[in-house]
Amino acid sequence: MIKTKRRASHIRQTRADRIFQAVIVALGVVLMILVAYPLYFTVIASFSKPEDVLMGRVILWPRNISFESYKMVVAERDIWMGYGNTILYTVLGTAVNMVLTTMMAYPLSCRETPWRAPLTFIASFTMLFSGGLIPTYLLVRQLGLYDTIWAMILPTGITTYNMLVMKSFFQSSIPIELKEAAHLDGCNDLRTLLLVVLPLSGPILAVMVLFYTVAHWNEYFNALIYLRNRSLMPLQVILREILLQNQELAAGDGTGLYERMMAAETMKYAIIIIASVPVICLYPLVQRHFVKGVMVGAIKG
Amino acid sequence: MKKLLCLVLALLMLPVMAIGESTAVLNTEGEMPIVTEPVTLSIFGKQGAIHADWQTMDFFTEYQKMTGVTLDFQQAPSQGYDEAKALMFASGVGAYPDMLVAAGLNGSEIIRYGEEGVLIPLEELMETYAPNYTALMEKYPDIEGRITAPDGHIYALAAVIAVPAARTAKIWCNTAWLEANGLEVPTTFEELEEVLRAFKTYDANGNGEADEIPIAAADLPSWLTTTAGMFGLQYQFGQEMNLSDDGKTLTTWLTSDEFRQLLEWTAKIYAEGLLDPDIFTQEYSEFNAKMSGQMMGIFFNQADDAFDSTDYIGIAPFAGMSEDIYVQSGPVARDMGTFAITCDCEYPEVALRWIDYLFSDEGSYLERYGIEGKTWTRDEDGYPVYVDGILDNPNGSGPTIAQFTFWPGGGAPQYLNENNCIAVTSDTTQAAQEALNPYMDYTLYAEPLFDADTNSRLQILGNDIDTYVRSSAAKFIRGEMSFDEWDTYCQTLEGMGLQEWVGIYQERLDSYQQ
Amino acid sequence: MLAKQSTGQRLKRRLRRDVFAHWQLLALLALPLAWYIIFCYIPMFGVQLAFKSHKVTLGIWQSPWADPLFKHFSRYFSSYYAWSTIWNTLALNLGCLAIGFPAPILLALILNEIDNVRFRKTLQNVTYIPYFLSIVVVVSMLKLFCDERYGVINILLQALNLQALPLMESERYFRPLYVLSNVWQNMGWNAIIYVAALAGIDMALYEAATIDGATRWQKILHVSLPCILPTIVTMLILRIGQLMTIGFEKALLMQNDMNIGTSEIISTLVYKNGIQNGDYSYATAVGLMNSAVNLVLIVAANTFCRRTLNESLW
Repeated sequence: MIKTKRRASHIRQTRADRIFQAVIVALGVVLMILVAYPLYFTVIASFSKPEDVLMGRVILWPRNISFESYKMVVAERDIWMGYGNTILYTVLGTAVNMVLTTMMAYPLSCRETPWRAPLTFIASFTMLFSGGLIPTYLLVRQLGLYDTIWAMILPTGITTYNMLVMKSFFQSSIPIELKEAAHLDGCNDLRTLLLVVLPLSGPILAVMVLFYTVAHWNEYFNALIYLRNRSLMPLQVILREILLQNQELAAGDGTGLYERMMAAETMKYAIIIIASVPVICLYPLVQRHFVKGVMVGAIKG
Repeated sequence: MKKLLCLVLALLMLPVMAIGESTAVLNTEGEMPIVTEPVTLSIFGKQGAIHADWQTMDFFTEYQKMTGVTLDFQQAPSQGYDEAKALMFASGVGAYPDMLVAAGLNGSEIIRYGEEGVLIPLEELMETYAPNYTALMEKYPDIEGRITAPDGHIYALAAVIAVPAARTAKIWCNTAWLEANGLEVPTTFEELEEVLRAFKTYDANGNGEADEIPIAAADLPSWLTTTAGMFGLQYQFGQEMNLSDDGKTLTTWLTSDEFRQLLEWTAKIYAEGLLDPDIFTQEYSEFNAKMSGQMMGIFFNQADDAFDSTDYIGIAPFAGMSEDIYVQSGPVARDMGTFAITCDCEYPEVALRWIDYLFSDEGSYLERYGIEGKTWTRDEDGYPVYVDGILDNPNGSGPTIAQFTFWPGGGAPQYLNENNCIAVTSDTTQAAQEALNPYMDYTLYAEPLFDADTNSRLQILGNDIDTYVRSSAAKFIRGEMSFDEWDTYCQTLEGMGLQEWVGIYQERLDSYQQ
Repeated sequence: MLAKQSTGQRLKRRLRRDVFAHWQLLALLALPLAWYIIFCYIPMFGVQLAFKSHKVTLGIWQSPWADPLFKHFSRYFSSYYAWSTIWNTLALNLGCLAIGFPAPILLALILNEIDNVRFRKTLQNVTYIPYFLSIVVVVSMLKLFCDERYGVINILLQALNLQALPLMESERYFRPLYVLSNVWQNMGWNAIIYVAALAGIDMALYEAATIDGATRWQKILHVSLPCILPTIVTMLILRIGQLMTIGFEKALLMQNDMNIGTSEIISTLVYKNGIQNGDYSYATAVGLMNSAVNLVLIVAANTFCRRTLNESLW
């Protein structure tokens, strides 16, 4: 609505306005190039012949399009193992996050919940102060979570910021009348939540799923300290080894370590693409709900 | 206080009680299996970058069968290993692995965790259960001083490296490149520079790119350690210190003119593009690739196991900068902290006997060569020889051997002697060592163990000094800091407590001389 | 007196009724609350480590108190590198604040002014993408692009006849690289809120400005900016509250021997001493000092917020 109205107002553009618009568009194009070029370069580098990339012959267009790098990545067993683990942690972790976060956020959003203020404080205080790395590590160890998949899931059970965003969404976007009506119809609190509130909370649930999924997908530090068994390592840890620590890759045959190292250098671009595409693809799916969900959180969170 | 005392007492009693309980499972000395009924020991250590999974290594599977001791593998990968090690120590009594094998314990960890009771004292147990190691200690008296803590206990065993060639960095020079340029092996710095300049423009692999590296080292520290000796600088106690001629006084050379001269020369060849710029940043695996790719004219490495040395010879240090030239060498007990037993180990004597066998001749063959008949055979004198396809493997012998046993990469508990060292000291490496021998005849103290308080003070001082020297050296070499700032550099170091740092070692030296 | 008591009693009675009537809500809370206690509050007691001489065999509680009590704190401040790590932490964060904070506002204003819907949508979506990349990936891209020999940046520099720069291996370039890559990664994402705020501005205001003869530039200055100012201020205060905390993982990944002079921040120091050297008491002490500074900043920001805007975090 608003947008159509606005465009109408732009029809009567003065000359100055047109120049202004040109400047704005130019700025937009520059920004677009600055942001997109690194992404674009990563893509074309991953599809070009390794030598061309290393010799600086790939700048604007892919050269000698080849899938060599991707073929090598496919042969990397560690990457696929990490991929599998990451998917497991992401799915399971996000499910746990959603359940716990909702269970906390909903009661805190209801005015009739006893001890609401102190309970909210208990949660909020953890944003200001935390025990830190070592005590948390010792706890994880004592609970017997160390080196199990639960170490990747339970310690990150609730992100307090997300929980508060969800709480303010429940407070501001679910009409109280609706809940009261449900109560009059004989719904208890649990049924109200499941049958009335949650169906109306699509946007916030979508946003929360996105937040948590991205966090789990990109998590590497917890894995670094809580996991030891290599077969449990998520993708990001493997990426760190290959991309940043130049760990030798198994790919390629016996033809000299040096050639392999050179090939590995461009293979990194392909690895970046393969590791990032799934999570980038997630965004369009929840985009519709996005602005609403983030807005509520940022203003009131 | 009372509670504390009880705890300490209980901790002290722990090994004693354990012995009382469990000697029953031990077989007679010198017999295999070690135990009469199955025993499981958990094992923690550093699985090197080139290692296969320890669980699948021939050595471990065979040794488990032989000893009757089942291993519960808890090793950590070399990536992020320091974290894994510190977190392992933090896990608390009841959660420690039984044995720390090739766990890379440094001096301060040995002292700290030894005094806190995490690592049990071994010296008394060793008399009964470690005959081989005890015999080695008698044969090489230096070992005892190096592994004994100031409180008189031995908390960790060191590797015994009885071959001098395995304790030095050789200077490798590409003779094919020399020949192609019509040059002789350089013996002085002047000749060296000439050779390097020739290498710089020489396209050895004929690909039209100047990707040949005239001179290189794995990283900055190893560059400095190897070249320092050519400028008359020593590493007494493993630190940047020289010993006076009367053998009584230590002085640090970090602020000396000789060190400045070394840095100036390095800066000069760096500016000319003769020194590999990657030495500031590369991982060891990249250096490895350059070795095996025959990409370097002159470089430093202990052995020729990672590259084909047909075209390389080991040469002597370059003369011309200093009257006295020293080659730095590790002590017999080269790798400290290669084996320790924790307070959670129910069978310390089993663990000790488990490790001790590896310090016998036959045990060392198993550890270094794998399974007899599979990866090695005996020559007519009964000495081990690798089967074909190992030492001459195109991937380098180290990575190949690391598929079936765990010593490549260093830090493993092992006994290396003339009979079993072929993999790390090929004939070429031995010959390279000959070139260094004339420069090794001077008193060199090995890094000792300090008591906890001294140690923690030393750590603070050492960390600051180390960090500062490393980053300043890099800046001087790369020209980001001019040598006009040398005085500032010296003053900063003095301000960090350089003299106090030297003093701690001087005190130790004094105590040796009494 | 009497009235007070009766309100007290009434409250109590109401509470009892609420507890009874809404037991399901409380039951829902039980599990997440248990999570908070276990994973957030129990570790909080661990900060006592900062005042103890931690012995691994004795654990956190039994370890003896440090002697003197502030031993680890004074050790930190006696270290040559103490003040430089504090300065590095602040400089890095101030850099991110100075450049990273206005960037999304500018982007939102530009987006808001673009008439072509297609272009606007595309630009907005493209600027989101980097946000989804992991830190490991972003640092890897930095490393690949900035490589002295093979990186595209240096290849371009050389094509322009300029000297190749050791971007990743220099103290000089660490902060710019860190800050700019942060802007690159988060600008689009952080702009969402301003875009939403701009979309919420009443059109009547713009129309009135048009009638008054305002140009579009003037409309930005006199309508758009004032209208989103409350949002800007709120975000700024939230951001100040994180002044000492951000950046650990990225700084750690970007760090090497050559840039340590500027890349060593408090949290990386804590990590090295604590996790790598096992010096938990010292690491906890340094970390605690950092948290304390941060807590002060948040409380100050919040108070400021409440006084000036009547809005606050709690």
